[in-house]
Amino acid sequence: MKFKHIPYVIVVVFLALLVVAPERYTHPISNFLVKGFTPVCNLITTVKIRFFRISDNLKSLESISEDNQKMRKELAKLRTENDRLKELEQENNKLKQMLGFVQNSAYDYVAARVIARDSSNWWQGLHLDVGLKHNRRLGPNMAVVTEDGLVGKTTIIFEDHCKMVLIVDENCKVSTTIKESREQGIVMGMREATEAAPILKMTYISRKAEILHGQTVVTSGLGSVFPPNIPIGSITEIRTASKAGSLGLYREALIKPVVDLSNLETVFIVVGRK
Amino acid sequence: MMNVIFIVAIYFALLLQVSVPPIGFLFGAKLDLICCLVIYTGMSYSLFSVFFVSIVGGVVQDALSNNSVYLSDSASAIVSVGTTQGHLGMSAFPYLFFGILLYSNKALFFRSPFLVQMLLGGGVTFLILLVNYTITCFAREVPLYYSLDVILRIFGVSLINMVLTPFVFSFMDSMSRRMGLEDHAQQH
Repeated sequence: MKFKHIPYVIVVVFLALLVVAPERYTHPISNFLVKGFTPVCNLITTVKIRFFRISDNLKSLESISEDNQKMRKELAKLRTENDRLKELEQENNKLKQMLGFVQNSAYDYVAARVIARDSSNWWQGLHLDVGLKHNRRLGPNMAVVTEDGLVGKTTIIFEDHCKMVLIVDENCKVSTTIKESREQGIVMGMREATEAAPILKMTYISRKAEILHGQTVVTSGLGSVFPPNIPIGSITEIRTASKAGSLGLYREALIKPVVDLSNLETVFIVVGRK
Repeated sequence: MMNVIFIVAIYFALLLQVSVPPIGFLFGAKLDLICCLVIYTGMSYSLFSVFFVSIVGGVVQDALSNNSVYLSDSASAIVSVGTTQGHLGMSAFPYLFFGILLYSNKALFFRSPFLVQMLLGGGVTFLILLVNYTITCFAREVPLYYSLDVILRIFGVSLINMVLTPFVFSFMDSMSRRMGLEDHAQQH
């Protein structure tokens, strides 16, 4: 080996040490590196949301003209309905407040906005815009939900943002129950799944369990990471014990997540009981 | 000076990677622009630049990913609790390996034609991702298998990079020309 190559060898050795270093040593480095991205990601998200709002409202001149004619015709009719709708709107707002997801829950939530996705092809994760400086109670392994159901769990919390894995990730495992039959199992993501084509697998279902297509799977609450009874999805396919590759000991079911993971904008992190 | 351009390029490449969602019709493939930069550097610049781009790109990409988390064992599967462990820089190794391979064999390729750049972009990306996937499986302690979906996703990223690599070449070449580094790029 030539002497001029020695620095390169040293660099590779340092890189190898960095890879095997425990997380408590790499955390500050990650934090430092990601800090440069967080404000720009925040900005991009804000601009993106505003752009889509504007583009939704923008129409071509032709369609505006057509709409205008139609609207004129409908104006008279709408005026008569206007008063009634105002009343309905007020009533609707009241109902929304009453049925509000956060207010009605037994848990404390921290609302977070999705600012970026995982940079790797092999992880299904997101970056959220809340960190320790927003709420000191935030920590890893906290459930992330929307009003529809479970989204995933937090993994690393930084000062001004945090990372989470989605339930479609292979390493996110959730103790679950089938709502109708109370049959228990473990739901995990599949390597083939992505945000665009989400699919989950429920394993360790008893051979004798009565499971049917369309049944709802919810969190069981075991393990104390995920609160109980959060909807996860519905069963789309049931695999027999022989096909599940489990030597016939248990069955598997494929589950379609109830949450649209490809269009997540705002999520809630469960930080504890009220 | 070129290293400053590389840092800016890596920054914007990763910014795009975390902003663009997976592409459904390409089997859920995400962008991997660091691959394109590694190919460009391997074909155009010194060994130092190859090391620089591969390591900085790989480490920052891992910092932006959940790659730095290790979440499995049988106990945690039941209680859904993961432990964290650093794998920061894991992605840098495949980049480095193929970057050096390209650098040491660049005399075998014509650098300029679009077709060569496209084939390099697609082929090298496919190999890098295949190695990256294998390493990731070991690091996550999950079973290693190459299903059709996995291969198709890698193929999807390769297709994207096949299209993007010539653009990366022309963009980076024009940047280096503007910075007065043209001779340096051609010389290597």
